[in-house]
Amino acid sequence: MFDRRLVAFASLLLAARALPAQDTTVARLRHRADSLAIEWRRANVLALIADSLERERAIGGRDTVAVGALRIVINRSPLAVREAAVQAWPLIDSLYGTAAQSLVTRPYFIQAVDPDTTVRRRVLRVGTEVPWNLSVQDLTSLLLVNVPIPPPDRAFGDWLGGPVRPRLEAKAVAGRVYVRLVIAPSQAARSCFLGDLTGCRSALDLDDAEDAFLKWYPTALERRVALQRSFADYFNRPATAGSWNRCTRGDDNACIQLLRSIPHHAIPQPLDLEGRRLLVYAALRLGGRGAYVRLLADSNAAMSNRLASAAGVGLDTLLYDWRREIIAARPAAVTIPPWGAFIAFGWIVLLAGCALTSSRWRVT
Amino acid sequence: MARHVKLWILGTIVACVVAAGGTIPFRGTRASRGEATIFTQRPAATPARLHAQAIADEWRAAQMTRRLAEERVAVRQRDFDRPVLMMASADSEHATLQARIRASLDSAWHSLGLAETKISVALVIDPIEGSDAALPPEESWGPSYLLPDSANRTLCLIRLSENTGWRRAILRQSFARDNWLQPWLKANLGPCAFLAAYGMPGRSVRTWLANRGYDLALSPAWNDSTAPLSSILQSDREWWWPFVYHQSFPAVACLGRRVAGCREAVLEGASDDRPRANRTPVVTSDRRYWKRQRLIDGSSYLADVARQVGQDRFLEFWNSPLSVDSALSRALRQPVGEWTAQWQTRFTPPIRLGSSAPAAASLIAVILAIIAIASTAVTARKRQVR
Repeated sequence: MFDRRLVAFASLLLAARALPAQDTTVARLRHRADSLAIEWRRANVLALIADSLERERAIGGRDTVAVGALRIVINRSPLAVREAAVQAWPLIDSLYGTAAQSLVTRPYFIQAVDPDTTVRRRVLRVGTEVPWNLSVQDLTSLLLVNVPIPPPDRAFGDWLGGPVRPRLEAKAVAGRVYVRLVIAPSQAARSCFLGDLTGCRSALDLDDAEDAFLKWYPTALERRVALQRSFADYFNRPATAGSWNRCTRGDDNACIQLLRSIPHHAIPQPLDLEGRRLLVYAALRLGGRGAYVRLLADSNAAMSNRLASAAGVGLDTLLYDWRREIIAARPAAVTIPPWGAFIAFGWIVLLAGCALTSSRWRVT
Repeated sequence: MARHVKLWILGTIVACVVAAGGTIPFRGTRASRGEATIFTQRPAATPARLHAQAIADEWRAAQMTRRLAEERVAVRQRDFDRPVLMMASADSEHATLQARIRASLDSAWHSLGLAETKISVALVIDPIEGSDAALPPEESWGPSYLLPDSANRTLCLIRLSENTGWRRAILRQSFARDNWLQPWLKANLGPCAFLAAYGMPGRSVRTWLANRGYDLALSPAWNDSTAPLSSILQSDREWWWPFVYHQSFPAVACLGRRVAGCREAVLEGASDDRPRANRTPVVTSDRRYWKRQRLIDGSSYLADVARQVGQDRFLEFWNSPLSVDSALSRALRQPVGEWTAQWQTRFTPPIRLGSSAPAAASLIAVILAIIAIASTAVTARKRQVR
């Protein structure tokens, strides 16, 4: 007798066998990933403890130098840490304002080492190694460029090319930006130099425009030159050779197409990052002690708004102030002292005298 | 000893003492400004931290395999005419994003000359989950593939991790003009494009490719006759030496056009010595992919073979029951090593291996030697013995 219930059961069994084959694999993989995640959590806790112990070890048996909110944990050595910290703190405090107080909980760890010894050094787990014969000035610079301030958000870090650091050579930097404004092959930079703040805004990439390069390099010649200077090798290859050749022969559409294929941050910008740093310094100077906190308060806001908010003034006022500082830092032209002309004339007379009084060359 | 010789020796010793006194600082001397050099070592991670990082790497691999398997189960639809597109995220921009990717994917598919295929392909675009402190951070690095296996013999899955960078780039207004997505998707079709075009390979080829992570079939560029720029050359066509020193010996030997090296570089993994259980249908790209490559710029190797030998001969090789060496040699009509050495010339000039002096330097050395010998000979002829 043919049992219909048996057939139905057998069909169900066959279908059920085909389907869960993959489900079993998935379940097994899920179990493996989950157990590895548990294992990682345990290992991570142990690693955190080990890291913490290393930090404790880095502190143990060492001196802590406190100057303002700076805390420097260092081993005993002739390194002039206190003197350097005294020089560094006012610069740090004036830059970060109220945010500098967070440095109390973020000490420097410095391991001063003998610069002359050939003895193998211990593996460094925490902090920075410094030779103990470093001068106060060099150590001050080291403290300034390694301030353990929390890093800024990514958008700001990308725009500035890194975190905000205290100024080390203010006058020289402004002088370099002046030169850049004058010689940059960009209409935006030149108009900024001549006093057009819209040009300054474009040159500093504060427009938040999709094709910002069209403002940096508004003429076809500028766009072509920008490409030829920086991307000749990159584009002159089989995949892009056609567009490249059209661009170099004067086809502006081809140049624009090539520029669009480059990520925004990779296109050579009219002003380098030093110009932006000066703008941030100007904003922090105008904004007072709370400026740094305001600058980083809203990571989603446009860069122009963040800078204006930090400075506590409109963007145009900030740009005006920035430009004025740069124009004031015009590098001194090379001048010849009055006696320089006499010395040059003396050399001319001497060499001419030697030439006129020498004997004739004779071939024997 | 003659008096003038003694004077010379004494003078030399005094000069050495003066030079040493002037240059060697006394111990503990404080360096003058500008002379101190900051030499430092980078802080090293603790062994416990390294262990945690190793487990995190293992978890990422397991997580990726798990996701591939889950997504393969989730692919309900099958399309043998074009790849199925699945996007895990669904937000306000989803429709625009999907439409643009769909169009570029279809265009990439047709540019490969693919129509109806034996194996269907699914592309899953998966957002990396938000930061969860209880899990290691996932990495957005290249595509991963789940090839057909005994659990599913007709579907090849590609998984791409979505990141904000390319999402924003696709949604840009200028997207249509730039058209970067189509070649990018085409390159990411990888081994799935090969399986779609030629079906599952024969046992020997399948074992060979699986053993080496399908590194010779990652770029389905069989329609592109222009050679890409080699990753091992700098923009001025000079060798990028740190890169060279990170590669395997056979790969570097092949750069030097050594036929045996080329053969070894291509046929590595062809001997079936790995247990079957160790082979996985998952193909991944690693962020350290550029280190220890088996064959430099080898990702398009099989695509170049296919273009050169034509579809019929390539299919013969692909499905051949012979060993890989024999099957490939038959398809190429020449030994594998010789063809590969010739193929390498598409990308790079021959690298100079061993301690051979450059030709220009050798020429200058010979000229200097001739001048020295000639001047000595002329001087010797004029010497008079009294």
